[in-house]
Amino acid sequence: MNNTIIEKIFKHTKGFDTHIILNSTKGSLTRFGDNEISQNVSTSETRADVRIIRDGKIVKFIISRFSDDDIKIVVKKAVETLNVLKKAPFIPEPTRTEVKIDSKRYYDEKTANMSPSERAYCIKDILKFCKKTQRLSYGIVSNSEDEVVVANNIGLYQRYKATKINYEIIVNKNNAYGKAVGYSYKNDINFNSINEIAVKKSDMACSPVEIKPGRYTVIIEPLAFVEVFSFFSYLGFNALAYYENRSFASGNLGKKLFSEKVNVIDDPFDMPVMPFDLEGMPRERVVLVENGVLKNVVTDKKTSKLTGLPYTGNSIFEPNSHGAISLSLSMLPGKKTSDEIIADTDRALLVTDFHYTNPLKPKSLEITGMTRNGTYLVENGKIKKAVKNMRFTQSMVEALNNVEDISSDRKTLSEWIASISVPTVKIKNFNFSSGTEF
Amino acid sequence: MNDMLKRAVEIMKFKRVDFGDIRIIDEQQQNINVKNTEITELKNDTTLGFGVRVLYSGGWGFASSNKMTLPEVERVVELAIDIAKASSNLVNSKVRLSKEESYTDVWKTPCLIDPFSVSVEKKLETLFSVNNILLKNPKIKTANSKMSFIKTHKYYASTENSFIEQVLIYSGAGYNAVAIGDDVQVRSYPGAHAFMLSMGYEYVDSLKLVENAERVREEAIALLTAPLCPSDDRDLIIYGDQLALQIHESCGHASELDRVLGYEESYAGSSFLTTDKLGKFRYGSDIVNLVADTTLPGGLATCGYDDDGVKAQRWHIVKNGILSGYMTNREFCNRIGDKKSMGANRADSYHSIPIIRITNLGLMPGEWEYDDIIKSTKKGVILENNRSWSIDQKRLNFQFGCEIGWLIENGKIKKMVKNPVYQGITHKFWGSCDAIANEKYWKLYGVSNCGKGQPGQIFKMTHASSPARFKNVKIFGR
Ligand SMILES: [Zn+2]
Repeated sequence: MNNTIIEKIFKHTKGFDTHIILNSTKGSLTRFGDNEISQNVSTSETRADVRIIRDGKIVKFIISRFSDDDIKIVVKKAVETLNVLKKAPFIPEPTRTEVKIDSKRYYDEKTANMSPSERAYCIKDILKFCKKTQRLSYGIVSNSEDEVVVANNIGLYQRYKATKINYEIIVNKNNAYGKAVGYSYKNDINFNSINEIAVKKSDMACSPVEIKPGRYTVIIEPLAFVEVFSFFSYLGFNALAYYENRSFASGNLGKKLFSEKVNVIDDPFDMPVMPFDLEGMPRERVVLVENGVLKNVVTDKKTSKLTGLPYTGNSIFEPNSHGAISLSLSMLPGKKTSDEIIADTDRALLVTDFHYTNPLKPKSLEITGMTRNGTYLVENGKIKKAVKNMRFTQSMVEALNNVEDISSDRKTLSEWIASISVPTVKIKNFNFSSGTEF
Repeated sequence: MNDMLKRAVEIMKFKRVDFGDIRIIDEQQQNINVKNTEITELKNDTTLGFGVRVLYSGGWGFASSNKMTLPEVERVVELAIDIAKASSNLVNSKVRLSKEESYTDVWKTPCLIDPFSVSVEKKLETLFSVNNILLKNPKIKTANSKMSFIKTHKYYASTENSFIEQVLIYSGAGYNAVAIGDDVQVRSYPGAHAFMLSMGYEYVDSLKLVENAERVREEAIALLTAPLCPSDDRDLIIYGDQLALQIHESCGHASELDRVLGYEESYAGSSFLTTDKLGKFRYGSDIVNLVADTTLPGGLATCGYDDDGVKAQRWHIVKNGILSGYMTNREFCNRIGDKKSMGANRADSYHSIPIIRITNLGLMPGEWEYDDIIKSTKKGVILENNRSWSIDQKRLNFQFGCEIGWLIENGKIKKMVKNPVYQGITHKFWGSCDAIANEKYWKLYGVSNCGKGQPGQIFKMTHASSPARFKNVKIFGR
């Protein structure tokens, strides 16, 4: 049916350069709180993002009803709009590529069709256990199926079909919280082992002591690190921010900015992620940071033109004001396991999760946020006690320069067409600026 | 449409569900963004679809679709019932909704000029004129201006024989100027977030976008060389969308009853305003009155009825400084002993399930003249427009950065300062509120990007306020 929709849209936009992103999504989510299912929803939607270009003028629109009559009405309106426009200063060239992609590498039929009762089954044990042991559990289990087709009317046709299953669990006993997550494209998640981590984290978080704000060595686990590291994607390695002098990367290509332990790659081949961008361009492996040296930023059609850098296939449907986004950011692993990093530490704070992170200063990636779901004091290689949550206010550019260790074990997390892969990271002189009451 | 509504209700009644409703949403949206001299977004979007909610044997089920046929309605209703059955096996206690009248009604946003009747040319002309003025000084590297319009046509029918039709209209416009030197400075208008209200195009006209552009440009440039905000304890005079966001984060989210009861714990957390504090807890000083109001003209959460089919209302969350109410819906209101819902249950689209959302929530005006607040401030700083925001998972420790500050020494405004950031603990902060300007200064600020729930939903609401003073707050420059 997707081919028919695309053909229909081409038919109604004859005479234009037409580019279509057709996204069909089907998703279900079971949410639980206080040891019971609190929400159980299912949704399916197909929509087409369309761009038409003629005589140097450009307009975008969305089609979500696909009868000939419906498409005709939407296109007619778009053309009326296009006709009153002036010529645009930048027109994205239609994508031409020899590489044809039809990827179902991360598709699993069973995951696509998981039923509400199967999802309920996944969480039945933990709900029962928590009820029995006077604990509270909260979380979600969701499964989804996405199909993205990117096509234009000069022969481009790229397709990506993938599934996802996502499990998040928070356990709470007397206001001591612990969290763990599982994510995969197929249902190979070990729910029990994830539950055990969350329960253990919560147990260790009881009776937290207050410690003074200040600079500490921190061991940031993947769940927390992804919260701060993901800002590098659109504020840091984005060629538009780079070009406009809004990024730490501006004027710094080729310079050593971070600890030599830090290696970062935008790697579409290493994780479940769409292998082409929303312009249909095949993605590439882009080395962003090598041994602490800033090597590259990622580009789309426009920023490639502006900066003279090669187009890396990181476009999110042009024109837009966001620029090029790294869709598969990966920090390469180190040698020690997370446990060995803890064992090798004299004194540090171990952070499970960060909450409500936001940039204060986008250029230096100064971020603020709270710790959450288990923050502990590590002394002499052992987790000694829980500490009360604290707010950090810290430049991540400075933090990556202060990296002391990176773990060999990593977690890959994913959202729609993007994924991110992160290790546990040990950082010195991390700034905690205030505390809270719990 | 009527056929679909009727068919859904028929099946749900036949299947003897405890409760069921269907919402059909036909929505039209237009977004226009201009960056410098280039249109970066010009998008018309129409969506049409329906969501079905079923309560069966005390468990919830929800399903939706955008295929507008009777067989699809039948399929989706059956699916919602199946999901509800799966849920009902894993609930602690059966969900019971509070009683509600049946309504047959039509409600429309009062609107003078339909924003979709205004030509794209006219809209673009305004945005290009604004950017032109902003870019007149080369220190402004980027000028971003935008407009956004939404018309939502909602049809609601329930197994309790309500049939409600609503047309909700939203219009927004705003811009910012980005000055880049050694530092990056942004100045925005009418707010960093606030740019939309529930009105027609008359709202855009009332903003005087072009007339304000020169001031915005000059302030952005002045910020580049302004001294850093000092780090100490000061009296803060806060207004604009910064005060709106302070209300939003520290009172709005904290008073959502589902969050208070733990049902948001898996995402953005819970709240320190636990139900044992109702009617007792000192949230703020005596002069602090925070009022929820879905009847407020122009408010983004203003409507005739919420998505539970409950009529719009006005009620206190904080009265004379004391916690006095919550944002409630029909599922949870009995947990605080209320027989009826206040009507705060909303979904952001046909494919979302209604959940408790912050409604319009305003800080009621005080008795002060704005000038007198400044004159009576020894050591203070005036803060406007949000720049960064963060609050902990119980809504206690917050930290906000603002676009701009003006230092006050001995009752006089001395100079502009850049990068002010203030931090506090919610109830201590509101407890230190000692002056609120009067109704002359009371304005509406919209928040149109409020995220909540899993799957995530984005909702809109308005926080009205006049400038207010808070004593001895920790502030620093970054
Ligand atoms: Zn919000």
